[in-house]
Amino acid sequence: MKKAMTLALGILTSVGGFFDVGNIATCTQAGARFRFQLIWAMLLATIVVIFLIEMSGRFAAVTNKALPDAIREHFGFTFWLVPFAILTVIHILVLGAEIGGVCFALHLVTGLPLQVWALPVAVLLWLFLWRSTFSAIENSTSLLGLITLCFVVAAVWHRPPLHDLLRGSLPSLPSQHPANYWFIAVSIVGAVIAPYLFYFYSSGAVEDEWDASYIPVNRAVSVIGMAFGSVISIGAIIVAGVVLAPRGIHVDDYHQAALMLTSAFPFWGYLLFAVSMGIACLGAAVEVALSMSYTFAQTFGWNWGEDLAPDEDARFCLVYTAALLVGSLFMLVGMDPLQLTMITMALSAAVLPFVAIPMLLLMNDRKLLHDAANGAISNVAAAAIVVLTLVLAVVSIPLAVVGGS
Amino acid sequence: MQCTNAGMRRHLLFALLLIAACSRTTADQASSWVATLQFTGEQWLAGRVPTSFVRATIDSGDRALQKMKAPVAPAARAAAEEMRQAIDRNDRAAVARLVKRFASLHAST
Repeated sequence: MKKAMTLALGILTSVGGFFDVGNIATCTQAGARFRFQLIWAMLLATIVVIFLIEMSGRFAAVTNKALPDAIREHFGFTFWLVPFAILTVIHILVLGAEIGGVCFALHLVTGLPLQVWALPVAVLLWLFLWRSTFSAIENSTSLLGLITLCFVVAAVWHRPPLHDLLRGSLPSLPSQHPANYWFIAVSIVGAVIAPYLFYFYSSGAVEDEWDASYIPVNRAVSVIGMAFGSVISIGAIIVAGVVLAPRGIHVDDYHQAALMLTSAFPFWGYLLFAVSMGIACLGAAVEVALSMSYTFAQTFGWNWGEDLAPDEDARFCLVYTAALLVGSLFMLVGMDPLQLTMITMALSAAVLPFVAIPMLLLMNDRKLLHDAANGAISNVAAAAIVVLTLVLAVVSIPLAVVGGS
Repeated sequence: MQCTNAGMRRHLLFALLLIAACSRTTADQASSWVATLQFTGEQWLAGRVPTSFVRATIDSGDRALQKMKAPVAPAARAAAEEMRQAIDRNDRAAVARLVKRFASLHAST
């Protein structure tokens, strides 16, 4: 019964938690610029993230260790320091982008400038993290995140041509703006395969006290949950492709994206967009801040756990407090949230090898994982993922320079 | 020396590609902002977006157009300023006229 509950909640969590500021930015840009032509990038990223999430959950369930902890222990502190430093920067940037998303949502609802909301949002997030348990955070933000299903409803309502959707599901070369096309494709992958996701997921599995009997649950959550989450993102691509693209509107600013739901929901569309964006980014910001605390605590061997009282893991709490403060500075100094998001997604794609390669090496360690180590299929997927992440690492920054708008 | 020339040619080619990419982006972005302002005006007339949103979108559009050297940018900025004044006066007829002006500007891009 407990596992069935975990499964149901896990799927809901994945659906609600999949969609964040990176997905909103990249999917709306993809749809507005190239209609359905980049759906394949989302499908590819979803397949990769399913494999990686399944592996990180399986690893935590069998070893009772989260990934940063295991990588440091297995490869040594000195080896781990470089990825740790890079991932700390990425965590801060992603947190800044997520806070930017919440600030923009509040700006849409209230009409007040984004800067006004930066510190209140950081304080709200801090209070949430300070007061809540892990399961309360996981379930509340994710259940509220189901509001993002409005993108799927809108996509169905618009009745997009099925053959165009199918054509977009297969990789194709763009007829124009190739640099921008590949930049958005890479950013979609960077947004879906967010490094924090694996650290958060594996640490969460340890917090939830998973053991080897949870492997089937983990597999179902990874596959069904991520696939449903991907459907929401594809919904956003479709809606942007149907509403914005024919009008020649590209998303260079979030204000342009805010108009995409007003055709399907005439009187609620604007508010639905704001609330969807606010909740999706709020949930993701909590996850990113926690993931950063998990990574720090596991790197330096501190006490950690969102279920512990703050005086039992003071340094863990200090990390998310400092991260929220630094993350809010981007909006406070007036940085454009969409530009910050797109830069962050390109950088996320660039650092993927630092996350994926150590994880995939660990997944083959039979001393640690015994029978749960990667089999042939997982290793073929792992090899393909390593190649993909290396390609992304090489091309993402040049594409951001040439193809980013 | 040959190596230096080849290196210079590569740098020049990269710079030209970058300039070409940027100029195309500027024209596209200008056209996109004109379409955005038109659509925003339409949605305001239909009562689907609040006035504060239209003001904020005009501000963003104006800031973006100000940086662009696209031929349509000055006319679009002037129309955006007129739309700001029209929505402040709640002048629906004027906004409807400006929506049409944005449509013709968009068609000309």
